[in-house]
Amino acid sequence: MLINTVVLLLRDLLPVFVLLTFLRAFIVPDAFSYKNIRNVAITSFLFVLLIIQIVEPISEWFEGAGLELMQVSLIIMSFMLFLLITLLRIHRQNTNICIRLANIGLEVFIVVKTSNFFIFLHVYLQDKSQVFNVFIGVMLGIGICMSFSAIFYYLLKEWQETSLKTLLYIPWFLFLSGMISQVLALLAQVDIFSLSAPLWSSEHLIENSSEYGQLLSALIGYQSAPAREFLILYSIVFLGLVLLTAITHFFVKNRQGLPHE
Amino acid sequence: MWSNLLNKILTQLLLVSFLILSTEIEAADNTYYLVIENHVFKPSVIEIPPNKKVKLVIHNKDKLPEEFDSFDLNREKVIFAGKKSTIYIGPLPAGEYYFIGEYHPVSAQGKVLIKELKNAD
Repeated sequence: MLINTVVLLLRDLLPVFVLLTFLRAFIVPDAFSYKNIRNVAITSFLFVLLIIQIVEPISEWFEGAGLELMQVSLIIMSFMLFLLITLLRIHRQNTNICIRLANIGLEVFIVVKTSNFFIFLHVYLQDKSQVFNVFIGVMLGIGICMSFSAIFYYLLKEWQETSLKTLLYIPWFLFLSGMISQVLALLAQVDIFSLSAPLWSSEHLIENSSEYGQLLSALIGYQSAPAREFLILYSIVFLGLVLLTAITHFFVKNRQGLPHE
Repeated sequence: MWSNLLNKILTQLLLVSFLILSTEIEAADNTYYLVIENHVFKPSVIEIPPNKKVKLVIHNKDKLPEEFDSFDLNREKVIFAGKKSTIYIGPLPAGEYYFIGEYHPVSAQGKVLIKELKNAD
């Protein structure tokens, strides 16, 4: 039970920690005041509690596709918010707007990623004999996530100090492309969208279920056996984000009369 | 002469009925059923044909929710206590694709075996 708790927590919580690290390192560092983090944590927790209460009836909506459709809507909403924040950031727009948008995006992302884990907790905390194991598992999982987050934050900050700091957006866009591409698997699961057979399998190199697989999945949305549609969406979103940022960056610099980086 | 004609008509009718029936069996064959009971998947091995999308109906007969989880199939779905849920899997190439009940991974284990079925098509 201890190992299972850690595995589940890493699967569900690691992407949240990766997102927090990106936001703190260079997207909206101002959003990380104690007061703001406390408010986001409390609001997310209340939203997750609400979702757990209504998740069972929701799962029966739309002929059993309710949960997937809710997750897809929330992922798209979260993606759009982070895209907007990135563009506002490049425009050097009002920080308060960015912080508010980041708060909403974070809360939505936390709800999507952690509701399954809270259902698991809800199941296991009914059995008093498992409480200690689950508690230790949660502590270990959070510890691993925080340790990774600290190293990743340090790497991003070091990168920011170099002359290639503009390229910092590349891992951020890979993360966003991975985030939005997951909607295809959710839609295929309930037959709203059809995926073709996987184009290749890199299971022999990095299994999706391995530690590296989970880490890459959290960082860039890695899939060991991607379908053609997944790759197309991933590439379009990634290239679209690069292009959109480059254009925005160009116009901002032109407007300000600054030299291009 | 009449008996010959009757025989021919009956044979044709039988043939047509068989064709209709086989089409229905094939459509029904695209749906597979899985039961979770005492935190165990029954059956633990499901055989499905390669490169075909199939419907998997999972019935959780236990009093606790279970999460059908498979990295291999890229599927993850919570099935609430006493409820049925449907997921679609495939098309996938031949191979073994493992799944577990994430809330009881020691007992709830199974695999989807994708291979050419003897009686398929």
